[in-house]
Amino acid sequence: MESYLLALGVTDSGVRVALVRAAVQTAAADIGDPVEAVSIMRRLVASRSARVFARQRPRSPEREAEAILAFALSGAFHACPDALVDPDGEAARRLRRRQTGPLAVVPPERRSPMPVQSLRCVSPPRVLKRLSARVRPGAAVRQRA
Amino acid sequence: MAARARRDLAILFGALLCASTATAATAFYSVLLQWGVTPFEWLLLGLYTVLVAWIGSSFWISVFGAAHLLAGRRDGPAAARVSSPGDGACRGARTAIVMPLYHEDAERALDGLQATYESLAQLDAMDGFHFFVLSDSRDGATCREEERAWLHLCRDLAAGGRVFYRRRRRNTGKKAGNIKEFCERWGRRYDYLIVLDADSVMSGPTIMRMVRAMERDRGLGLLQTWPVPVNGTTLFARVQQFAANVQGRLVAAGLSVLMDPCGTYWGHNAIIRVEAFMQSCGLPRLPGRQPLGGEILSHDFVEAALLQRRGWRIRIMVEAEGSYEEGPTNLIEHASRDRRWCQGNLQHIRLLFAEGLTFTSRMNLLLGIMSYVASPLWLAFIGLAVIAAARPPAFDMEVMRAWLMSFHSQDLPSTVPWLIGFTAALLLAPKMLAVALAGLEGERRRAWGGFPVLAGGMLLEIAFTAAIAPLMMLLHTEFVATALAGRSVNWAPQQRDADAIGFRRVVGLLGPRCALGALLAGAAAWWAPALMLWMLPLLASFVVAMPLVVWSSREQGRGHPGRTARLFATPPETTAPPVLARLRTLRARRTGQGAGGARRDDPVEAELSLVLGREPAS
Repeated sequence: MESYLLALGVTDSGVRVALVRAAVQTAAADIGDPVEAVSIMRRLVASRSARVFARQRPRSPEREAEAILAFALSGAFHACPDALVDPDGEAARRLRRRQTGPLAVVPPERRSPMPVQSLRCVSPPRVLKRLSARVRPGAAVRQRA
Repeated sequence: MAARARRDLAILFGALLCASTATAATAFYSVLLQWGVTPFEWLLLGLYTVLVAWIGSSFWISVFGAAHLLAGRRDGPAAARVSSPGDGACRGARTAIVMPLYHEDAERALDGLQATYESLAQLDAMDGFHFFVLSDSRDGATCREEERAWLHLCRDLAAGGRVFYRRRRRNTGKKAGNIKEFCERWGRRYDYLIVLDADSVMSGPTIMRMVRAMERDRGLGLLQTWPVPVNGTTLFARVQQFAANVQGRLVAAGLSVLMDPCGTYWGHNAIIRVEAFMQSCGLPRLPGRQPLGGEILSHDFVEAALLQRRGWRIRIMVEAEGSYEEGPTNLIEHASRDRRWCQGNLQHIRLLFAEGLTFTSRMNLLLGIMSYVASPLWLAFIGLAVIAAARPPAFDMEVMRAWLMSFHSQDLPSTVPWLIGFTAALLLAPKMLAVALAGLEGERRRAWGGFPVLAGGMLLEIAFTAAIAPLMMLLHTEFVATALAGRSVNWAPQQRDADAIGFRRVVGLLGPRCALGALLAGAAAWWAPALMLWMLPLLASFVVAMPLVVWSSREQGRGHPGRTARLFATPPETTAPPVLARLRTLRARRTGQGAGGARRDDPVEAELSLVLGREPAS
């Protein structure tokens, strides 16, 4: 469990200890299998991450992944992992306030197509004629008139 | 600047260019007249006129640039305001900073984005900004590297919800299509778009100035900064960045003053009004097949032209600091980039007479085309000169001796030295002007290492450029010929890290070209003895080119004699601004970590894979 938390970037040992204790408490029986232990810890981190960001409790592995990802991308594993220990505490509130934009995935928007421009050529003599009209001041005045 | 003053300046530029071209062409005609003008020589005269107009345009742009910068110095901050928009609130402008990637070293590219992000964060101005990494990569491993780099960036900066990563399923339209797709999906959320290249870095204050300039001038569609080349570590890159730092600023200032408000777009380090871009810049596919048809490759000039066609203004902001890019590390990379650009610019031949473009846009397209077409024209000029002067000596020892003895007694018209001097002045005076101007700026002069070092560096730069110029001429001619013959180039990413190239590789790539060049120069010297002295430098250049390419691709570390002597030092190198210093720290840290530093067993990556509905990477 500790190594999982370390891999997530939780460097604060106090937080790690508190989270491991909480995970052990949530487990019904003794956790012997390390894979099972990581799985329990992952669920705990996911549910607490969701609470920190006032999201619904994740009910599928994908939702859990989203919650953990959001917490990770906000840099909170490094900066304020104590929000996981107390998802209703001051650290969590601070994190919620800081989190303004959309999380992790860019929200899709209705497409607004860019109109394709025409690059049709005009005949060079026409371009030269227009140009000479612009260069000659008298002609330009006549054209405007 | 008032519209009338701008028009007067443009007319003055045109008049000066015509005068210098006519002077040189008349002198050349008088030289030809001495022997009687044949049809070949008429053709020679025509080519010379075009080429002298081309180098004359660079000369006068630099002169106007120098005058503009000097006027800015004299008038102080008030004049500087014209080219560097000043203060003012941003009033909640929403800006997306986008970095398109295609098979780049993602961690390296995102180091630049991180330095930019942190520079903005220090100004406490992050509220109005979102960052997007827009990937067009196809290779699975590269994509995973990009995702990993993005994850680390977000975690290190606590930037979730502010830095996004998006990968297209199909890379239609290449880079222009990448930006277009972004605009179509998320453009409406933003007022402005700042486009970065994979090697771009921008400082927070410069970004804020750009946003403020856009806020102040509602008719401004695009503001292009002058990206200063930095971080070159090989001799080749340092020479290039030295030249760009000294002379590039003059050219940028010249273009800024002459083209204003119909400036240009160089594809990155620019801010764009999203509304203007979306309504004006949907690029069509050109009819016909590649290389001249199909998707528009050099999209930037075309987008600038389309913005102007709709009446949007485009300006160039010339500042010495705040906008940076990195250049190719060796000549092979430089040439490979040139090949892509050449094909893109040649496509513009088809757009020169596109309906509704402004005169400035057409000139801009023409200048882009000429940057590559000038090489085959120079080659044709040399070829015609050889044909016109052809007097092949017979294979006889006595005749050979007489031939060798005759070099010093060639009867040249008195106009020739003047003509050579005039042409050389057009070519070299911008460099001298740039050195003189840099020498006038006290603080910056010290950053260059002092005036003697600056001037010495410029002389060596001229020698280096002259040594590789014939090879570049041959390469550009080949690029133009292959593009016109219908051979398209691949959209290959640029190698950005310094990696010395071996002699064997250089021989494989450039050997046949150098041999051909040397053979042609030798044959020309033999065939037209009067041109022997002209052909010798060409011959010498083809002989030294390959060793020079290998030598100049080697990294010049901190203790390198060239560095300690401050040769080719530039102000951003000697007095690194904070954003560049930060970038160097990030790079050094990454290099120190190496591959082992990457968090390969990162559970967050596994969560990302789960969210994206695929198997974890490891």
